[in-house]
Amino acid sequence: MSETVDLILQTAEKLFSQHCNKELINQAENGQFADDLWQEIEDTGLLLAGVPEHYDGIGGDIADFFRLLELAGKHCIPLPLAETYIARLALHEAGIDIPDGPLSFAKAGTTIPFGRFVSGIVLWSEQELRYLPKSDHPIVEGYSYAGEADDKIELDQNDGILLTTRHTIEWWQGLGALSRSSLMSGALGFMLDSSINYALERQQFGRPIAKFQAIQQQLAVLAGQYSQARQATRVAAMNISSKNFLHSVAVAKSVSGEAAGIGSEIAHQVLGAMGFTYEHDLHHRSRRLWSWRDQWGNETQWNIYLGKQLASADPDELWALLTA
Amino acid sequence: MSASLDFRAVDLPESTQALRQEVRDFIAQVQPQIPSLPDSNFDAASSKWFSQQLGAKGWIGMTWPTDYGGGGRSFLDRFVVTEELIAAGLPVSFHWIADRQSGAVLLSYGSEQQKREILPQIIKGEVCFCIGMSEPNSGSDLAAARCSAKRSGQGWLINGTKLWTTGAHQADYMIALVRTETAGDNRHAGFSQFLIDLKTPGVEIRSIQNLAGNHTFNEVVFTDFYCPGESILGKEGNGWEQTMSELAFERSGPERILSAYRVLVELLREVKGDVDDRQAEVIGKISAHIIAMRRMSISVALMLEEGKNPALEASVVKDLGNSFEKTMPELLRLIAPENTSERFQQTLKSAILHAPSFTLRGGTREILRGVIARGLGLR
Repeated sequence: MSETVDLILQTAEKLFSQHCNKELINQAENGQFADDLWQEIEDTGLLLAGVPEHYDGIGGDIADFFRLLELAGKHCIPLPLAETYIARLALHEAGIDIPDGPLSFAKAGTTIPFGRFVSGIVLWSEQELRYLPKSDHPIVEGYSYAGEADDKIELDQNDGILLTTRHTIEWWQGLGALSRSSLMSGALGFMLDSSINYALERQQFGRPIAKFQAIQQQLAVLAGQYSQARQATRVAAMNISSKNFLHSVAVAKSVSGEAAGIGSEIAHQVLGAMGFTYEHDLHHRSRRLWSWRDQWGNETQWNIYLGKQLASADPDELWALLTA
Repeated sequence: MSASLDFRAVDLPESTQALRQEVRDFIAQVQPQIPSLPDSNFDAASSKWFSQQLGAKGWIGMTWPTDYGGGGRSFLDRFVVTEELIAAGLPVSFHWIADRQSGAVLLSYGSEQQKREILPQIIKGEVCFCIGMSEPNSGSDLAAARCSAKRSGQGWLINGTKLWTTGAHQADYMIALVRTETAGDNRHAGFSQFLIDLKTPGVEIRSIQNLAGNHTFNEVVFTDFYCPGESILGKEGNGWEQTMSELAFERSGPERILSAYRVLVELLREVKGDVDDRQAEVIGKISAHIIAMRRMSISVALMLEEGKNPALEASVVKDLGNSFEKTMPELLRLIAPENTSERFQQTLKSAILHAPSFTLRGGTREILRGVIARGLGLR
């Protein structure tokens, strides 16, 4: 992370809490793109965090942006911030002009987050990165667990422009998966706080439910899951330029995906029927967690990746790999 | 609230790399001389000889001031040494408690004479410590402890029983939590810590066999046992606070994550690099958790180095770590090939038979989660 990261995070926290509320998130679920919020974010230059100056960015580390994504997850920003950021970075590296407006970034063969709203898509496959400018590809509208636009777009294998970047193909996959871990960490932190607040306020049997050990014990587990997810995610962000990056991403996506399931389960149990209503804002986080944990590889996929790498090592060298 | 959880993603400093290599070289050289199978459970095996070897390398009391013979090094250096020893499954229990927490208590509360006399012996791997907290009617509820000390001439007469005392049968000293006043309205008041020389005649130490058939813990009975005046540690009546600060050292180290680690190593030896997706998934899942929790444990070591109180964070690491190290052998047994070596079977057996203790020792899961809940503002 760079020295300016604190300033970026303060700016983002202020902007997100001022401009993103329950109503805005619900409107986005009803098919409205949050144009005003998008414009605010663009005007403030948040998407330039960590982008090198020769790509017209503000410099700093790419890791700065992943810290910002934690805040986007906390506030459930209903916009393709991660997708736009990563896609723009790929276009910069490939020397292609950046189109105005949001972009998407997705794995080939999967649905495209915010597909119907974006002006172009960078598609990742195990072999290559391709860029597809907005065109008349037929779109089948779909929705994620969170009700966010998640569309199918019929593409030909050779559509679009092949991107040549200075990073490996795995690196781009790593950014995709890490973006989900960062978003999940932020959402889990919010969930922990709102569960604690609820437990302190909600009275049953003549006292706040926070006084019951059964509740305390569950929230302690949620705190552990959140801490572990966030720690692994931040370590992976710190390793963006290291040769161990994908290894760290596998760890982060595995433990944060697991934490998303355990954490949502606990928060919903503590908030009871209230948390199961559309009225309460818990579902904004839980439904996003259920989406993000599946995107860019779920726990099983990353565990298998990591497991295969480690299993091929000399058993007596395993410890050296785990501590590398 | 989430903001009270102070975990930071930091790399160990470059300077620890040379130390790590030195430890690995030492392990490679000494391991062939150790008869028992490697076991990552820190109280699995005790060897005074091995502790003396470590002492000679300067790897006991590493963080203590050089004035007392300590290494004057950082908690991050100590972290590196301890995790290498645990991962390699070496017999560390002779010096472990003294190095981890008793020495820190002596440094904070011991008399100048006690520090001059005892710390250098710990550092050489010559003396073993045990922890006198639990009693027959005081397990998780430590404040219910009844073991008492009454003034007698220049010293104290101790009466009562300490229970589940790991290593008491080989220990030279116990640091015990003892009532010096009867319990009043404030249950935490009236305790003092004592440094008890267990080699003095009159202490009765009875072995307790654990379910694996091993003798690691004990019952220690004091009947009008005389302790000299200087054996009280710190301030009379300050025992509860002193004990709580000791627990921060006890709760977050690599030994709270890696107790069953050798099962994973031996499983890799069995599968010889040929794994199906199911096996790879389990190996990956376990490794992901070890890597993530280790990073949390490093962050706690950094807090200790900075002189902060990591009680909340240490409890989070211990709770996550203990629950996971208990799951490890359960996950691994299900993916083991049908015909495994004697070495694998013994390693697995030791982990499964000792696993029940992982979430009990050093504070039960329930107590830790209570500490975490307090840190979050729930209690």
